[in-house]
Amino acid sequence: MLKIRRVLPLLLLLALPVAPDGLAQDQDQPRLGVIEQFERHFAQFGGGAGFSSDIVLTNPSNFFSATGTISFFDANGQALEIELADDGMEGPVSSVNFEIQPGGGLRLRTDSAGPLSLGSASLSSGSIVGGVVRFRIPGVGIAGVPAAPSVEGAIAPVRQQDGIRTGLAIRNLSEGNLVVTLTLFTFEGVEVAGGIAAQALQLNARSASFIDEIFDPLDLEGFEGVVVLEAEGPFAATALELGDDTGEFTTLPVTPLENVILLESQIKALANQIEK
Amino acid sequence: MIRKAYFPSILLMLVLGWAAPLQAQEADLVLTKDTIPPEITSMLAGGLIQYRVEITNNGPSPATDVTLVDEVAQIFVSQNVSPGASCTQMPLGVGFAREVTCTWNGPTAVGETRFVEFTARACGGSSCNSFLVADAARASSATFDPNNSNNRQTGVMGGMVPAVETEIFTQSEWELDVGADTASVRANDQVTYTITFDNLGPSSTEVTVTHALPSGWTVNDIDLPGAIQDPGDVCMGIGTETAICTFPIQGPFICAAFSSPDAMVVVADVPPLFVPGQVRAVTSIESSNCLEDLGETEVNTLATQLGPFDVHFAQFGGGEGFSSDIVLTNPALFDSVSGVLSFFGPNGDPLEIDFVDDNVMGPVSSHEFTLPPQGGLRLRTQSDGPLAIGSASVNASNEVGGVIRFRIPGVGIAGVGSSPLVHGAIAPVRQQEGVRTGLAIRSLLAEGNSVVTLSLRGFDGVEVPGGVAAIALQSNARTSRFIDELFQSADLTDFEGVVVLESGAPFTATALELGDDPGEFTTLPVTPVVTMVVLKSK
Repeated sequence: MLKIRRVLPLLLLLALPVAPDGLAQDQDQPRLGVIEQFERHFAQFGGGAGFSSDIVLTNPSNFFSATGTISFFDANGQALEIELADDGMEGPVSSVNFEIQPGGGLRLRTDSAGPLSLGSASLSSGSIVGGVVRFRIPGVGIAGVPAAPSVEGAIAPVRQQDGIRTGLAIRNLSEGNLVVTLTLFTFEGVEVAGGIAAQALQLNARSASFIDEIFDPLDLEGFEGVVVLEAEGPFAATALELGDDTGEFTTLPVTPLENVILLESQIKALANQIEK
Repeated sequence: MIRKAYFPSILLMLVLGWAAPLQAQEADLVLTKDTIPPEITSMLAGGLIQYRVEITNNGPSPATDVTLVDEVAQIFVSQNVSPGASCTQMPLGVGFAREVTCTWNGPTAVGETRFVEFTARACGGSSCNSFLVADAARASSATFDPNNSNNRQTGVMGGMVPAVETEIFTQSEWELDVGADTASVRANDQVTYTITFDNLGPSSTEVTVTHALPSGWTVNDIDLPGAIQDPGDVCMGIGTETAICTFPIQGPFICAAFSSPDAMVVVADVPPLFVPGQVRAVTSIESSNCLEDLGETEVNTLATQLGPFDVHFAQFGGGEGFSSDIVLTNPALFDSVSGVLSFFGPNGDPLEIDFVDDNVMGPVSSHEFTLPPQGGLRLRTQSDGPLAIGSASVNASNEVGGVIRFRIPGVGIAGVGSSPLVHGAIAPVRQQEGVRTGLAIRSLLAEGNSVVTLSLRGFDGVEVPGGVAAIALQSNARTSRFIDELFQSADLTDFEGVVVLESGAPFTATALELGDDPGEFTTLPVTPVVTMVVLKSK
């Protein structure tokens, strides 16, 4: 007998280990979950000036349709009216309602013509939906990245070497303004001197900057390491690598920071460190 | 002292007017005893030893009815005597010792030597520094012996003939076997080791069996199978990394090796956190014997210790200009994470691959790593040399972030996150505008073969005619094919849709898009099919 209570589902979903793509991680056992509202985010999204984005959604259920909405936001968090190149889409839209058949999918493509519109997108659905954004920059290439989950901390590999540099796109998911701090570490876990920055984001706003811009005036030529992003509220982030040569264009998912339960001994150790 | 029995002869001599003094009949028997060859000072327990006992009549008279009595304290095997003797044996004490009595009836001339050669087997001693002492031989005759001290060994009252002492080195050939109930473990698992051992001799001894667990593992329980448990068996080590049991000797003072097999069962707790990889439990057996075991004294058993966190990369490789960066990050704020990166070839065998990184020497099929809190690691495959393509897996003590970045010169770079283990997945695919999608699928089945079925569907969820395929994969094997290769009978002209992958066995997968133009190269993660509780309304 199945008895479903709607009061716990989100908690249950949160209790499951979350993979970088935002879906419950399937280890040896099939996962059981109850979905109240499934939300994922694309911190980088846009179209125009030759650039286009494909949002590709898939319904991993074999039995039920997935319905939901995709909403678009500009850099300041306002609704972004954007032209879509798909049939049936007339005029610029700031959101799209969708219904995906079991085992089916959906692709929305922004219009590459016209002026450049950049922002972010959020997906809200009553069931789990797979989501990928595929960017296309003519003469540069294509790059796909999965939808990002809401996090309050994340770690991403970054580099600035061989003509390639990493950018970070961050989208505020809190219900107000949010400050995201970014700290640059070497692979050895050592904080880079001067490698601290903060980005203030309004409600629903996003930022996208390369690491040499974020950590200006640090000279990062030849650097390879990680950036740790932390905030007092939820956000979504993705990393992007762009190089000088054709095809040097890819996105990289970020990894949510581990939820930490501090032991008393660890709290003391931390206090000692801070004191020093 | 003149014996009464000689009076008639003395009287006769007096009557005949002999001037010579009266002399009694006497024969001084001299006994010697040694090993064959002489002066064997040491031997191995259980071996054969030979003694030669000689009785020489030093006169002055012939000795009548010479008799030798020898107590053979060890296992009597055989005897060889000089002609004319008749011998009898009598059990001596408990076991195989014998008292042998040989008599040469009639006279033994002055200067004549009688002998007996014994062959005996030395008992397995119970401890070191034990000596086989042969000291109970004695000779006599019916003729008066003026000096008894030289025909009796020191073990016989008044005897002065030295004992023959041979040091016995004890030794046992132990047969030891260790088995575990599993070949691989995860955090907090329990492993049961069954240790059996047997003494093939020649010596009996007390024995100690030590089972040392991998670092961090602890002994949860030690059991000695009841049927052959001895009340004197003692075990210790619960809660530690080492189980130790001592088994007392059984029948150490009889000439028989302790030969009944015994057993010990150790239940071990695997810790919650550890460095994944192969670990070793070492079992050794030790006895109080002088000499070490003749052959195997310990057996090592290997188990694969798996961390609680796995991620996989279904596509990986390098060579012919192509390279892969594996970038791992540690999202923990305070704790390091350790693990092993393993590389597999298309058939699931370990893939030996070259890296350009200084800390990876030579081609390797795995690499251990430790990431500091908020640290990371980047390994880059060698782009020179022949192409080596396969997959990679990370097994770590805690969560790690994983990304692979492919580089194809003239085409571009493409990054993709690590993939989890799934039994079903869905991926967007297309074949349009010169771009086509490929799927890399890797079996995560540790043993045996599996089949992954692929269903090609339109965005409406309807299966495309000819859009069914199946891929058989061996354990850990992988395959990568473009959709037009997978679904050869399907019409894929300007196609865009999804592929649903399903299997009864675990697998991991990633999608890859490759186009005709430079830069048209990206990877796309697949979405696991999640088994959900059905909403009541549905």
